[in-house]
Amino acid sequence: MRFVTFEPAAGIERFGVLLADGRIADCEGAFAAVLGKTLQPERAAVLARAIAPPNAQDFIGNGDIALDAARQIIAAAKEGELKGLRGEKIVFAFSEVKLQAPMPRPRKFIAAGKNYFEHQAEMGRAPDAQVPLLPIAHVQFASTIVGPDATVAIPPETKHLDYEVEIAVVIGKRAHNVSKDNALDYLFGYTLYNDLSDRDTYRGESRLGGGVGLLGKNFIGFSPSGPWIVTPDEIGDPQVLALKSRVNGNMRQDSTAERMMYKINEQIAHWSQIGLEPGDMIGTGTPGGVAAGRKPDQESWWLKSGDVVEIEVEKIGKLTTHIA
Amino acid sequence: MKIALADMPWPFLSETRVVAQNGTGNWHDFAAVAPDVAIVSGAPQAPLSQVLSHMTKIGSSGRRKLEGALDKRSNGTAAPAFVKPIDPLAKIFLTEARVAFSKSNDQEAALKWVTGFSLFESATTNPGATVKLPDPSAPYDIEATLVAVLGQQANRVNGSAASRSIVGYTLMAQITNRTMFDREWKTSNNLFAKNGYELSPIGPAIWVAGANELLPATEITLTINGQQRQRFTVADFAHSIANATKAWSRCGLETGDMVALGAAICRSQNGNEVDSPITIKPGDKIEVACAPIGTLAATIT
Repeated sequence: MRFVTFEPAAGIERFGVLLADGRIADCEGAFAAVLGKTLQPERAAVLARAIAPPNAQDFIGNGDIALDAARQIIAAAKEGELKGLRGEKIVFAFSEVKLQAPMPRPRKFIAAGKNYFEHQAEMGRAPDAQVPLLPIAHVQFASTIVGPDATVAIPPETKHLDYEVEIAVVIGKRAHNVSKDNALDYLFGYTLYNDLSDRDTYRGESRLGGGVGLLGKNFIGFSPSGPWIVTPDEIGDPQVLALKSRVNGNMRQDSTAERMMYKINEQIAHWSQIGLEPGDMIGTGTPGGVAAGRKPDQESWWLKSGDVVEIEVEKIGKLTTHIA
Repeated sequence: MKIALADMPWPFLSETRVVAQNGTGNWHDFAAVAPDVAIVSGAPQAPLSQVLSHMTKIGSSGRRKLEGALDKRSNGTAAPAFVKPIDPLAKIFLTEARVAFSKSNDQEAALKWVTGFSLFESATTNPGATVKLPDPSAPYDIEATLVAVLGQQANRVNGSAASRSIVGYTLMAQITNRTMFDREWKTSNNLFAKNGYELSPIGPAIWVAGANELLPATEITLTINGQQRQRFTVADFAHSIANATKAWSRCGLETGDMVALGAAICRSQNGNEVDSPITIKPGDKIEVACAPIGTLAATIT
C-alpha cells in the first residue's frame, strides 16, 4: 500500500491511501464510508476517526488495525465509487490536491552520514576504508521537511548547496533495543528523502569538533520528502533497491542500496537503543555522486537557483524539488 | 511568574495541564486565569506552546495582570506532579560548552563559532524522575544547563529580536554517555551519546521573564548527594543567550523550541572542569538549581 499526506483544500491536512486506480482515498472518510454500510453513520464516523485518524502520526501509531482499515478501503473502492457518509467527496485525483511530505512532523528524524562506500570515499576517505566504528548520523529537525515539488530557497550564507538521494524509513511500532534480525518488522514503510546540505556550514561545524552538521543540514526546507510511504510488502529486500538523482535531467547519483555499509536493519537496531516510536524516521544515507565529491569540474555541480533536483528509488518513486 | 506542565489531581484526572504559580507559591490551572487562551485552542485547555505564545504576546504588563488574577485565587496545589515542560516537536539546541575555551571579546567573531548538539524530546525526562542509566558498563556524566524557551518564531533574527523571542527559562540536567561520546567523536558523530532514552531531566517549571530580568549574576548550581559540584552565572556564558539564539535562528526557531547554553565556564574551586566530566552512578541524588526557576531534582538508578 501507498500512503500520502495531502491537502484537499488549503490548510486542511489529511492522510490518504492510494487506490488501485491511482487516486487518493481520505483514510478517515473512506473508512467511515466502509463502516457506514453496516453501522449507523454516527457510530461509523466515531469508529473511523479512532481507527483511521486523519494525520500520519496517529494513523501510523494505530498499527495493524489502521493498516487493515486501509485494506478494506482499497477493497471497497474496487466494488464501486466511495462517497462520504454525508455524500461528501472522499476520493481525489492527484490533480485535485496538494501533496505534503507523507510524514510531515516526525518526532525523531535521524539521518545517516557517510553510509555508502563510494560516498565515504568521495568525501575524503580511502575507497577500501573500513566501515566506521558506529553508524554516523545527524539530527534532522521536523521543521526542515517539505513535500513533493517544493521550492527550497538557498540560504543567504550557502555557497555550496548539495543534494543527496536517500531511502528513508518510517517506524511503525515502538522499537526499543531490537535486534537486527527482526528490526525490519518495526517498519511502517519506505519513502524518499533528499538530504540537502550546505557543505561550508557543515564542514565549519565539523572542524570545531562535536558539531556534526547541525545547522548545515537543518536550514529551512532542507529535507524534501515523499511522495508517499510504501509499505514493506511492496518493497521486499530494501538492500537491492536502485537509487538515482538527477539535476536538470543530468544523472548525478546512480547506485544501489547494496553499497550501504550499515544496512537498514542494522541502523534500526542501533538507533532503537535510544528508543524509536511510531512515525520516527531514519534517512539511511546517500551513495556516491554528490557535488562535494565531484572531481574535476566541481563548481558546475553545486545546486543553484533555478535547478530542478529529481531523486528516484526503485519501487518507491520519484521526488522533485525546485531550487530558488 | 512560573508556568509548568503537571498531572493535576481531581477534577483533572488523566490530564496534563498547564499550571501557573501565584505569589503564595500555590499552583493553579492556567485555564482558570486565562480562559480565552483555551477557547482559542479549541480544547479544554491550551497546549504549552499556545500558552508560551500567549505570554509573549501579552508582554510584561499583561503578565502582571495575570499574576494579579492568580494571587486572588484561593486553594491551589502546593506541589503538583510536574512533567517536563516541553512540546514533543520542540527543537532542543545544546550550545557547545567548549566555546568557553575560546571566549572572545569580539562577540560577532565569536558568534561565527556557535556549534552544538541537539536533543530529541525523547531524551528528556520529568523533574523528579528516576533516571535509569541505559548501559551499566559506561560512565555517564552530568552538566547543569540553563535553557532559554522560545515564545515566538525567530527566523534569522538579530540579537535584540532574539532576546524578544525568548519567553522564559528552565533548567536541564544534561546527562551524557561518555564512552559513546568519545567513540562518536572519533567518527564525527554526536547523536547517540546525548540522546539516551529519557536520560536528561528538564524543568521543573518555566520562569516567564524578559531578557532584562535574567540578571548576569544569576547563579546555576549542580549538587550531587548534597555536595555542590558546579556553579556558574549567566555572565559566564561564552555566547550570550541572545547571540546563541540568534545563531540557532538561522534554521528557524518556533514557539516552544529550546536553546540550552551549555555548561558555560565552570569554577575549578567547586571541583569542576569542562574537560573533567562529573560522573554519576546509581543511587546519586542530583539537583540543578537557579533561584528564579526553582530546583530540578532527579535520582539516578
